[in-house]
Amino acid sequence: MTFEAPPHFWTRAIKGLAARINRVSWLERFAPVAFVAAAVAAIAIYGLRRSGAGAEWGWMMFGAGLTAVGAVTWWQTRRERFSRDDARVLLEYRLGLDSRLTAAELGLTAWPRQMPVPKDVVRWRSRTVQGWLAAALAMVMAGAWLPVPSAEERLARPHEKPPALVQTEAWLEALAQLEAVDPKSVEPLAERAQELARESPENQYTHSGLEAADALREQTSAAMQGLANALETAAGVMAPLEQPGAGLTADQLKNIGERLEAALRAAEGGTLALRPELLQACEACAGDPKSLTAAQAAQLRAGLAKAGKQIRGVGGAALAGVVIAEAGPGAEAGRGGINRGPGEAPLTFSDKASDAPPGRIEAVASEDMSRASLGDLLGTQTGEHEIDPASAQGLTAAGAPAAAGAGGEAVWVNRLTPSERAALTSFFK
Amino acid sequence: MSSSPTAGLSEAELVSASASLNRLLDTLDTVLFGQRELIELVVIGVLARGHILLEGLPGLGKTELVKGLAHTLGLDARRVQFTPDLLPGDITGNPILQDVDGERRFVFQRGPIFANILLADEINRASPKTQSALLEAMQERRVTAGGDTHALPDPFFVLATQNPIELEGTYPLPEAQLDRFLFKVEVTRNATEVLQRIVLHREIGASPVVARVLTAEEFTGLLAQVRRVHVPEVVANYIARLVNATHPGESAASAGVRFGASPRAALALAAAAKARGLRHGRPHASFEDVQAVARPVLAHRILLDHGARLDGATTAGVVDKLLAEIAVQAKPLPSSLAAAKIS
Repeated sequence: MTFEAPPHFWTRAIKGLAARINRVSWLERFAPVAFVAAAVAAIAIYGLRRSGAGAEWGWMMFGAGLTAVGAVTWWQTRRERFSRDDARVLLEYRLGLDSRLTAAELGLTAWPRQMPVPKDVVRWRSRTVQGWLAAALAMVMAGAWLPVPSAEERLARPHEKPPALVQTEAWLEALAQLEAVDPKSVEPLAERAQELARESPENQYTHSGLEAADALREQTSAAMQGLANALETAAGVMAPLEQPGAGLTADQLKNIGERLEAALRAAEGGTLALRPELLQACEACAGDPKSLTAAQAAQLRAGLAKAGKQIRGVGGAALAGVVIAEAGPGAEAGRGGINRGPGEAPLTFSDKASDAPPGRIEAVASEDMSRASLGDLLGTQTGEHEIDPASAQGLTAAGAPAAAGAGGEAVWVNRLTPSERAALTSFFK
Repeated sequence: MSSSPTAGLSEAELVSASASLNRLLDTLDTVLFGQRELIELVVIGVLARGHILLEGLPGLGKTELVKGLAHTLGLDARRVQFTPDLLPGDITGNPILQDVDGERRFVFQRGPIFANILLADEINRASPKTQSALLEAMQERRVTAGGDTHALPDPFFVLATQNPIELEGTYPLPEAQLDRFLFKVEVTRNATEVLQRIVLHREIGASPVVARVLTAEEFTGLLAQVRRVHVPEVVANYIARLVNATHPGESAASAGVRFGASPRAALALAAAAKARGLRHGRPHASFEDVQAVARPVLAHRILLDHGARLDGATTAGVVDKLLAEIAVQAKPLPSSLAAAKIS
């Protein structure tokens, strides 16, 4: 309780109440806008800190913005502001003074005796305004104190390439070091792999980026498989030549030459190619099988078989499930070879021989279904027909499609690399 | 609206008026036990020169209160029992052919309305024609009959009663006539303690002995003092906002209101607030005065629509909501500020 003269006491109480109400009225408008300003300032300050520039400008702008927001909201509340009359009326009503303050102001009565004016004539009950202000403060503090990663940390951010691309790069690196494979034939694939690797991490993991990496891996795998098949076929064909005094007839030699020639054409037609020296030696043998001694033929055959195995070794698990029939009983020309019948050969592409009797139709099963992808094979190969007996449909009516699409045809556009897609997009724009 | 502060009342006048009114109220307390609030309202209404409609069940002391008031104030009071066959002339008076100085002339024979206080008992039993005969008297305080206008005595009050039950054969007062009553006060039943006091101090058929508290001149002086009570501008503003808020769409509380209060209601509020101010020894009317008389002044001047009535809304409830909604100060408090009444 104070002991001032009553008029001063009441005048001061009225002024204080008006100021308090007007402050709250202003805060109600100011707080949400201040939060927005604080959020912008926090982002700016953090950005400046991250870029290495001083945050002083951010603080200065925040201060100026806050001042401007305060001034504008104060101006906006001018019509809502409590005058002294409003505050006096509220005060006398809340204190139950029967309008005695108004009457005293008009000179009708004396001022009421001074009394303690409770602080809670008006009570601030809103958590909303406090919430806005606290959130604004938190934003600014976050902008000012959140740890900024150093430049080195940002640059050294680990980046994992798509697994398919990593595997392809590993294959290509290994292939380039093989003696049997022409490094120049590896280069186009390596360039495509590099092109994919140069893409930004975000692009590498887009749908098309992942598809492109998968397609490249499949293409590389198919190329390796094709070359390995051709080499192993050539090695198998040359088997009779390494037996000294085999006494091969001219037809048999011709047949060997033709089959070797076909295998070499298959090898040449693939994406990967043999080293020119090896190719020339094989071509010479194909042209004249008698030109090689048995030892030379054995050496060449061993070299081809080893090269085929090395390529399969590079492919690893990707090629493990697809093993061409090894030369075995009946493989010899004129003695029931698999393409000349009668004879026996395992009707399987796996290591495990099928126990199905001859003539039995057996579907080829993929051991790893996750790697099975219809139409994912890109590239061509020249060689013998690989007849799938399971596809035989028997007699069909005229005009009926023999093999209707069963779904799963890959959309060609997804096989394009990102740069190819960009080129097409710009072309058709 | 607001009277000049220079016409303010002196401290001595206020003390004297307050003492007189306290004596009056204490005396009326002996007439009608346990109804101090009702007595205060009736006295305030009379001080504001208003007509009062008392509504309540039979036997609650309405008529007794009016008779006691007339006696304590030393005023001339007449009682008319309103019935369906009552004619306007039975109240205002009739011109009667008489011999005057050897000539046969119509001489106006004054009716019971020529009194300071007219007790219109069961006013809703009279026909609308008779009820409307009171209109001019209540508003203009004069009676016109046979082409002549006759002024009524000053002061003149109509204190009417009506019974809320037995509505068959009654004629509800039209809005225009209701508007002319300053207050409509509901007389409620007594508590057990009050009934016990009545049993101990009253007998059937014996009227209570009431002392005269004021002379007619003293009472007229009080009426003049009420007129000098000041209505501050802020209070007048509050009255205006309150009355305006009774109209549909002007406030949340007025939802369901078909017609709001008239400007006459604002004048009535101010007059009643001034009378209450004087009764409490103040030279000015306050917000509390306005709020204290708002319900009896406004409730009968508000007309609810059918939907609201079906929902059980009452005009008194609307007034209560208005008082809660309309702030005394012209500007609303910021939404995050709550104000508590401290007394």
